[in-house]
Amino acid sequence: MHVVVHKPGILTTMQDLGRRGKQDVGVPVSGAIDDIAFRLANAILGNDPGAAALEITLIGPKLEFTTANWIAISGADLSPSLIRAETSPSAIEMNKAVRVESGDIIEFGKRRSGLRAYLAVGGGFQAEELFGSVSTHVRSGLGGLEGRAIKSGDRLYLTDNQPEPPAPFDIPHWSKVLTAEGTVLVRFSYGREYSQFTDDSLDAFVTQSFSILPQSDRMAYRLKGPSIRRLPGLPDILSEAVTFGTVQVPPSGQPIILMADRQTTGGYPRIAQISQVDLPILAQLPPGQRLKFRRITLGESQALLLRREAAMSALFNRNGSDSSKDVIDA
Amino acid sequence: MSNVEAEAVSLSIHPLGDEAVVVLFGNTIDPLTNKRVCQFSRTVANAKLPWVRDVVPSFSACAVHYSASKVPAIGNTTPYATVSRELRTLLIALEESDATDAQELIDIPVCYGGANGPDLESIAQAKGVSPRTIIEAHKRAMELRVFMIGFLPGAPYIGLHSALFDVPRRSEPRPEVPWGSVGVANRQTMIYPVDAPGGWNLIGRTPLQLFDVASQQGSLLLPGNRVRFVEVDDETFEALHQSCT
Repeated sequence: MHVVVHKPGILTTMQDLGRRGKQDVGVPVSGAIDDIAFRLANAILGNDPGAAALEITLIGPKLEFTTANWIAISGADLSPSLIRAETSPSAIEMNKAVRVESGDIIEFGKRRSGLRAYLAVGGGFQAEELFGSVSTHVRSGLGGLEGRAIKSGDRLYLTDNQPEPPAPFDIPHWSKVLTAEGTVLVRFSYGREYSQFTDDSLDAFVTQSFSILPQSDRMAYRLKGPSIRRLPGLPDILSEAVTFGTVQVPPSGQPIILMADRQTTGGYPRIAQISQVDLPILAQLPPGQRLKFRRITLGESQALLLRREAAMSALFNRNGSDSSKDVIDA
Repeated sequence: MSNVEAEAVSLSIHPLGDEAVVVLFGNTIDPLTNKRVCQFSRTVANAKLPWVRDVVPSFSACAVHYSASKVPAIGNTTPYATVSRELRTLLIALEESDATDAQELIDIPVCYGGANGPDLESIAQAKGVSPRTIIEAHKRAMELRVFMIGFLPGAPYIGLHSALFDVPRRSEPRPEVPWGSVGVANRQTMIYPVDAPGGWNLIGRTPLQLFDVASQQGSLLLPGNRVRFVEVDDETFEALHQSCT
């Protein structure tokens, strides 16, 4: 059972929740850059949270299903449509289990919100695992389909062991990708080298806004804004581990937010750690979007994360009954 | 740095965002500090704690990545506080044990100079010695260890070498350095596992495959390994390269 790729889109990769356990030897985690939208699509289909899905960036692919399947599309609204022989194209509703038939084609169009969409299939896409994950890290050619984005002619394999989607549930507001207006607020806790920056820089970091530069990608978001300077006379920091959401400041003074495909370690001073709950928001912001940083305590940041994770788990622990009212509003 | 300063930085735990901590053992690149880092990282890995996702040693610190929702919830204690406490317990047990750092010694064959080492001559010149002296010093270095692996999958930071290798990285990195290239800078050696842009000073090339997706470990080397460089000629390089691929 497979899907045929007629057009690949500009960057469509197979992802799951990332490749963990090998960072000690320099293997990046990669994985879905918006892990909330990714898991939401799987929850809608009754899949395991980490079932492999396609991450679709900005301009989507054209895919043909050769067998009947359940699908769900979450994240960015890239105007997905279904083309069935003998009928006119119909819009595919976002965040809903949709039945496709053999011969159906899925296509994408204009971007209406967000940046990355997830196409999940019943039972998940099937690909060979590398160190326990099918996530693709294009820069180092690891995982996914031969370590690269999908291309025309590819066959994406499916399982015939598809679960029946559970009863539809109310999509939590925090999992919806909204059209961002104005400046987006992003929360952070102290970075490892926060105290090594000048007072003026620390002030500017939270009072002025930054914009996302076009060179931003799955590896890092490059920001443009006030110059962030370290205190004079300090030695270079020693290379040390970094995470998804580490904000580094290179000598240029322009901060970089490390994203899903980041390297495992870095040598630039780290001013901030983006709150994990705000990473999915960041992942859906296009170049040009303005950001403003707001500091919260680590305790607050972790509390937000725990509430969010409990609510996300609740979407999977459903017995087909409509207990959407019980979902904790995180 | 004075002893007081050294003690002040030793064994402190810091958050690295919502789902990681850094255990800091010092702030210099030296074998003794890194030995403690590597011992601790092995201890944590062997403990197989259910909330640990990754243990990442670096020069003088060990990061522990964890799943916040898998950390046992104890009253109002933050996951960070619980993780810190658990790791301190492991640290104390380690300090009190007689854990030895019996790490295997791995020989790394290197074909020095020529097309394989385009920077050998300029380093020799900068240090006022012959290229052969640089090669011999590289081969005869004792007590070399892999401090950490990062930058690329399988890419080791090895050291420390003598002052002959205390040269800065190139001001202009090369857009592409061939896989296996052996580069030196700041008394360390770095080996490029794949073709990649590179700023280290290239003195030779190894035929060994530093990263292999088909192997269970992935990386040929691990942090804490002892290494020794062995000189080989072009023919041996070719023969070893064939047998590796």
